[in-house]
Amino acid sequence: MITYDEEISGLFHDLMSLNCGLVSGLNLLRNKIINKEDYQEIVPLIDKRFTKIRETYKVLEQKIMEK
Amino acid sequence: MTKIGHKDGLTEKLKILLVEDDELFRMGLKSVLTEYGTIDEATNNQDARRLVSENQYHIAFFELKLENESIDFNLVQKASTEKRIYTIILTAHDNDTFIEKAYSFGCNDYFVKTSDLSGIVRTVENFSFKKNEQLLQFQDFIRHKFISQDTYTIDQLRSLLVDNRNNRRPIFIEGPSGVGKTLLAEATHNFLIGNKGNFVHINCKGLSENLLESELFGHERGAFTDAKSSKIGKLKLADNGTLFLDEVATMPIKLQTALLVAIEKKQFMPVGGNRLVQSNFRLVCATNEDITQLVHEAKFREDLFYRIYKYVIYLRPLRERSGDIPLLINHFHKKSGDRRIVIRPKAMEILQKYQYPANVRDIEDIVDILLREKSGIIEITNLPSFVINNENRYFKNNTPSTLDSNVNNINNIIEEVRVGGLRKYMNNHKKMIVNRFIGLHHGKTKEAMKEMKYFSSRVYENSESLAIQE
Repeated sequence: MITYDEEISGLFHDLMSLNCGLVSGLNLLRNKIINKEDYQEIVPLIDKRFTKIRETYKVLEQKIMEK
Repeated sequence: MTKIGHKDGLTEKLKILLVEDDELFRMGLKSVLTEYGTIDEATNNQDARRLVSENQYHIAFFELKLENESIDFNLVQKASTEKRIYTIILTAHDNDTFIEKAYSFGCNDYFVKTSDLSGIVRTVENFSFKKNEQLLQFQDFIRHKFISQDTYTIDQLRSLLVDNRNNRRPIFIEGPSGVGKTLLAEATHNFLIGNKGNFVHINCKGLSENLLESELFGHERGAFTDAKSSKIGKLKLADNGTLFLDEVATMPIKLQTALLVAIEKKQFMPVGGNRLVQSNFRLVCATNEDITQLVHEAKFREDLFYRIYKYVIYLRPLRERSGDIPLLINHFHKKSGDRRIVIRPKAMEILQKYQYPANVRDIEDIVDILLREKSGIIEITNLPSFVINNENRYFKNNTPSTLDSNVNNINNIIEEVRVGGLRKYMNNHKKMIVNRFIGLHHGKTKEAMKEMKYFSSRVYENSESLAIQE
């Protein structure tokens, strides 16, 4: 059975958490419940979030491959 | 007081604190919580500490992991215990150790972050609802009709209303005879359903199997010898309303099976009929027997038990809430319309210590006896002898003593272990105890585990089955 150490478990947690924020932001966009100024704030945040998720996943992938 | 419009009526505006470093998640949460009140935000412990000190919040959300730091649990504890804020941990950590730690520091709820925020919204909505008009009316009912100042009882009754207003799950009322189970069932109907449907009450005890079947499901003309005309059953009469099954534990096994099908499929077949009848009702059951023991003894169907034992209210006997006794005496005294009498404090002390085997019915009888006393001033000597001697006036000689009953229990346990083995006995009882606790916590498994001090992933949060995995 595969077991993960604290570092890998922590990375999973980070990814889940980042993902919740991403979905939350996308929901705001989809449901059009923010005004125009907020769009200018939220769109780059979502873009950054995609990058952050990708980066974190690459670290996780590397840690898993090293095991 | 500031008021805002709300779908359930006027509600006091809430003050909410979000301690969350993820800006996107915070924005999402804010967007769904804005309608409930004003929201302050903090992204680190320092700002959160300042805001908690300077403001009086109703609800606070805490993320466990903030940017470069973990949440300060002392702050969570302060918010919960000193500032009496309803504290909710909202995090991506789905881990029993964190859950246990959070509850031990006094947090009220623990949610794992998902994209679905409906659970969080429901919690805030319920909190908000606790301040609204309908609840005030319900509190009025408790004060003037149910007549109780017992915190345990009042908390349960308030939760009954708050937790069940948006669902139709069955409610199960346990308690000895004469504690107000029927009164509570009626109130449950009035407050949760109102005039949208009927309140249909049937006592399952004392009716033959055939008669009860006919009463519950109805019958067609000619279904049996005396069926000269067709009859609509109580299940159909309760359509869109409440079906109150009193003394449900005495229901014959055959009818339990039919009832289970009717609850699950929301349809049933009248006796002698050939067409299914639809009915959608809220089921309220009551018993003064230990139903879990009856399940254990295979006298009550286990699958029906899991279906109806979802939201349990336990009404304590009067002897366990002696503070209510003077209130009830006063109530029946005034209700009698008879002459006024005065009960001396020493006599009231004795009355508060009496065992009241028939509960509220005994109070009514005793008030009646006292009103017939010559003296208008009731001293100890004016009390009935069974009260002074704390005797059960109904079963003076044939009630087993506690010692006898304990000895019998131990003998029963030994016999059961002999037959089925210790492991089976322990597993059966573990399952029964866990289910009982989950029931007492209205299906909230984590709260039940906390009270049992038993944390196991085998006890899973599934209010549909109310069971533990074995």
